[in-house]
Amino acid sequence: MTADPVQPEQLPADGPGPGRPSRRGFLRGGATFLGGAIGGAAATFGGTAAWGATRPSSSSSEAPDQAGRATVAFRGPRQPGVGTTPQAFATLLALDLVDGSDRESLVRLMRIWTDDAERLMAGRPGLADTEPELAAVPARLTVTVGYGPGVFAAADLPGRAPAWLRPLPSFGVDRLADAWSGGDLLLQVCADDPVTVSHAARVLVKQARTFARPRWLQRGFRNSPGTVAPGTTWRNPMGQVDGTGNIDPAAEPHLIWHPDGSAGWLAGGTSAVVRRIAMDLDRWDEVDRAGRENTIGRRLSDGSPLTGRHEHDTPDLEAKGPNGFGVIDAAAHIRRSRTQDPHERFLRRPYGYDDGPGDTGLVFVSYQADIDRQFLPVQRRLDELDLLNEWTTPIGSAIFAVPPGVGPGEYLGQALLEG
Amino acid sequence: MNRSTISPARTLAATAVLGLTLLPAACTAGSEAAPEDGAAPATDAAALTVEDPWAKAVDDGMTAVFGTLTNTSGHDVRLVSAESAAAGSTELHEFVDEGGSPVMQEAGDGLLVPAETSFTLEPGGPHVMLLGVTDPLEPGEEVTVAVTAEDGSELEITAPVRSFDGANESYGQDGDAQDGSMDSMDHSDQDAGDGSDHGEDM
Repeated sequence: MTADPVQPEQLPADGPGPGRPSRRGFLRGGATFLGGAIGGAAATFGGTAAWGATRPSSSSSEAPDQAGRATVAFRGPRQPGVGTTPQAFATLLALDLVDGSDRESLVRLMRIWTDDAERLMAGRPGLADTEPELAAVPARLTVTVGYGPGVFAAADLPGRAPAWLRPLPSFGVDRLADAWSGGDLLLQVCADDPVTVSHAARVLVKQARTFARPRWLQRGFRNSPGTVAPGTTWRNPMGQVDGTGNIDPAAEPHLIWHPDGSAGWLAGGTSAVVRRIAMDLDRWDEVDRAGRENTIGRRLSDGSPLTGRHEHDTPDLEAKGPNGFGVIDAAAHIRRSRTQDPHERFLRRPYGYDDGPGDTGLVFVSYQADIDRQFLPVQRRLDELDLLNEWTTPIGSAIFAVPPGVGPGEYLGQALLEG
Repeated sequence: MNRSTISPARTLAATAVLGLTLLPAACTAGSEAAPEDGAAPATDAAALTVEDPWAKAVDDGMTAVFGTLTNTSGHDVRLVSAESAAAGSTELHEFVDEGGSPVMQEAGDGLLVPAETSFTLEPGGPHVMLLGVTDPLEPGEEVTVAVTAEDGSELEITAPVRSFDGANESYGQDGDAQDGSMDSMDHSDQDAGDGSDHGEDM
């Protein structure tokens, strides 16, 4: 029998992997068989779908659990969860390899994570999944794996580590805690449902327990599916429209992924910077709206630059006010974060966190082909001068190389570990 | 959990979805007649497929292989024995109620996979038991077992090894004694000393 002939969900074209119809698949199949168009309305999003353009189009046949049934393709030239439009919920986990880890054990761990990620992203339980029912709602789940410097040391492949794979230099604004910094391995688990994220993260960590131990865990949130119009720029916990100037992965992939052919094992890979940025919301409360807008250089109402009318108008950094000062402050965040070098840009994929009163902020996540060339110059400028620094404090920092996506029959990191 | 999954209705319905002709059981059971979608499997083992096989990681001693067997043929298949190079001995085990308390024991009559039915090997249910494992079965490896059917044909199962805290079976008096109980299947902290766990809770 061919695989999954009764699986009604529009699973990725690469196929759901080996195996036969699961019980759940069969039940869904029955529902589709009887229910007609309901099952057929399930949407599938490509892992490299254009930023902001992956929401299902509204239609009369849309199932009420559409958001839960949507899946992202696991296999492909690039890992999912980078170019994927940010899901509503994220858990980022750093793990440290246990003593005695080597290339052989890393290969075994990557085989396990590959299998688990592929199954879970398709809405199927992992092997030995003790709560298989919790896997039934994929909700655009993505699992993204990154390698810290420790992976290259353990694998005895120090020469393969990219030059930029090292802790960021210390910045004046930093108040970093070890508890939020570093790590040998990164798991970024994102989905449009927190139950899905929780279960997937547990499966992945549980199956990794003989290989690596959790170092830190950061949970984040954005807007839930169906709550804001598609393409709406997210607001961070300070109330700011956050990400207007973000890059479009489809339009400028070279800023994120290493091209094929020239990057060796990293072709199709990228890098991740994860920084935990505390927001002093209580002191931010003391700032009136004009002061808040001046800090960023954008209006709170719609994110438009103070020199423009619409969110996506280009800020006029030369414009002067009646007193001869710049309309956009000399130290405003958008002025300081902009440079003339088109390469000094990167994909931001942040989430808010709220761990209780006085403990709120941003799980800042960025993806870029080269941390040194793209991220560091911008971070240095912001460290030197940025009005926002008055209310934000980096308290955690970690960097990872993100290996390319997984082709048919491959496992995560294979080009590095076997190449 | 404490049962095997035998769901002929599922298989029959799935067949219907596939658009295959359903043959009356009377025509196929014990018959050599080929189904319309192709020749009948030449052997019992060829009639079976395995979905999602896996094995519990173990440093040494006992472990088990699980997965879903599907009999795609129109006749019952009985599995009578198993073998693995990874174990001193390999047995087919079933789950029986012994005076109200569930126990594991070697399946005296083997394991029956009825025609056109899926049969799940799972913790707390029937499974392929590996005894006398001496080399660790580490997570991420694969272990191979060969299961022999009544007609002598062999089904080879290659099972990825995974960390797992359950499957700490309790056995009847003629079984291979092992501590732990069904009540502790998901609690590794209760089965210290059985030597079958790989790794620790984090």
